[in-house]
Amino acid sequence: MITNRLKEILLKVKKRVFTGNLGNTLSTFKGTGLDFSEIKDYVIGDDVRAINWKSTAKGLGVKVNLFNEERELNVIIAYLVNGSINFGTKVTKQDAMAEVLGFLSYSALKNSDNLTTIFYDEQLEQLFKPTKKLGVLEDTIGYALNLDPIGKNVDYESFCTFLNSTVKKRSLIFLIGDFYGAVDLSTISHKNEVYALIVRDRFEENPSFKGDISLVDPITLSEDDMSLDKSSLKEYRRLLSEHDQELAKHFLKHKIKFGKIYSDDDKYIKISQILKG
Amino acid sequence: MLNQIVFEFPWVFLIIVPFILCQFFCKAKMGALYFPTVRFLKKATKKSLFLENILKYSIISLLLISLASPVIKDEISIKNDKGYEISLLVDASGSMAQNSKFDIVKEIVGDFLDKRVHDKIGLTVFGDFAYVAVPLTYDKKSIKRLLNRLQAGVAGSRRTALYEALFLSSNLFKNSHAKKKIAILLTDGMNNVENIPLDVAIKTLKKYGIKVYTVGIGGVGDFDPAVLGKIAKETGGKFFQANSKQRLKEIYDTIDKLEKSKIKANKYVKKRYLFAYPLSLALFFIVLLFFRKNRELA
Repeated sequence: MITNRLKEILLKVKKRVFTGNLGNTLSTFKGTGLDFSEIKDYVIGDDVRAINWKSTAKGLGVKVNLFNEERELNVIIAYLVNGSINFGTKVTKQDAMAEVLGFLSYSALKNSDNLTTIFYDEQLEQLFKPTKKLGVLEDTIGYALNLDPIGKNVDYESFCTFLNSTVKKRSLIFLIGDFYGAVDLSTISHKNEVYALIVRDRFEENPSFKGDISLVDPITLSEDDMSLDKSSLKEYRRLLSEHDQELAKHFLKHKIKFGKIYSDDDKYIKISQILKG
Repeated sequence: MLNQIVFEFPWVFLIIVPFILCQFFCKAKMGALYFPTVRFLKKATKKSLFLENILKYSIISLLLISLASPVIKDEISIKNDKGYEISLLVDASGSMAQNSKFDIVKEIVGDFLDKRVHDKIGLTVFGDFAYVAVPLTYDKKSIKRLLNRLQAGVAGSRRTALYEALFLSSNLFKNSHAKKKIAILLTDGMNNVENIPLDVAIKTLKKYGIKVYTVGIGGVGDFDPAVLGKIAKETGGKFFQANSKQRLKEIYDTIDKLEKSKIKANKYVKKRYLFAYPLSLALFFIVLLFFRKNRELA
């Protein structure tokens, strides 16, 4: 089903990515190739064909050339379906995440990388098999736009287990979600290159509710009457930033690159910034 | 002090049951919206929610307490009992002071009061003029206290306003609903105040249906047996003569053995209503809650 929003996202993605150079510097894997990276000391096991005789002749030990690996990358984009993504002031986070998914997918496909798209909540929701065909874009973005996240909760542990069991090759893994749950990505981070794209809405980080309000938790679906005042909102912001700091600590510890994208941001620019570090 | 506080309408406390039920089952419907981080919000509002709930529950309980009307009761309620409404008319003219007649009368009337626990009793004293010392009441203590303070001559010592006393005391029964009303007239003299004629006094007595027992004390010639007899006869009472303490006591005992009429018992309970205190506290809390809510909106 091609909706207007899907068309809009596809057009936007193609235009921006086609003119930009996103994805050119995606890989940091070292290996054989033509793209020279650096010279390093020879270690037993290194390919003798890569010995740089000029540097070695200078007398500081045997040196080898190191190249950026030129191989087709295994790109996995995981769209984390949590109940909380059904929220947004200008566009919903679900929508914004679909856009992010579009940018990443298109760049990967343009680079003719192998693209796998995963939708995950408590278990595997939907898996789009590895492909290099642009046609998959419509399916994945369409799926992202039309899914119903209410009542779903991402189980990060089972997600990591699933990834480890299905993905054998070293991969570039993009996680798109709002990361409100108990995030633990330690088991996938050391083997793969993981990017966490935290999609948030500005209002949820800085709500300006006043007085009595009835709010429904999109995961547990329990309704709660709250009366909010300045001090409790302040406390809320403190709790949230505490959670985010915890999250950042976890990402830094496991060398996961991460960045926040607000639902009303220019996603292309934000993604480029995050990928370039 | 505290254990004397009783609630007039304790069943009002049952209202707390629907209130608590409503807390869970009939919440005010508000437009609810999905919010991703309810978890954090809940944690953040925990303290203020707790405070608000305390306020809310103390308001409702204080309101219920005041609605249940706490009172301090000073006297026991009098049961709906068979009894009289009795007006005692005591002659306090100067002549009563002789031979300590008045003291004897006081003693006997006091005994009589003790016997009539469940009766409403009034006391009228007459001398130069007549006055109602105590209107009809269950409060025997006050009557006794007043009786003890009475002395012969308190209402003037020269004359005897007998008819006026009858007239006045019959007015006591104006609002009475008792079936049988009784007046006991005790005198040792003759009427010599001419402001109320005898037939007017008797007419008033009859009008209210008051039975008058007349007691003449002293020797022959001290009182007018014809008049006293007439009053008793006309109103359906009886006329007694007494010339000794013993006889007087017998007379009162006889009267005491009269048939009993059922009177509507009024609860003569001194109550101090205390509802104002919890009510004002509840109002104070409501204002507090109101300001809290207003602050949230600010």
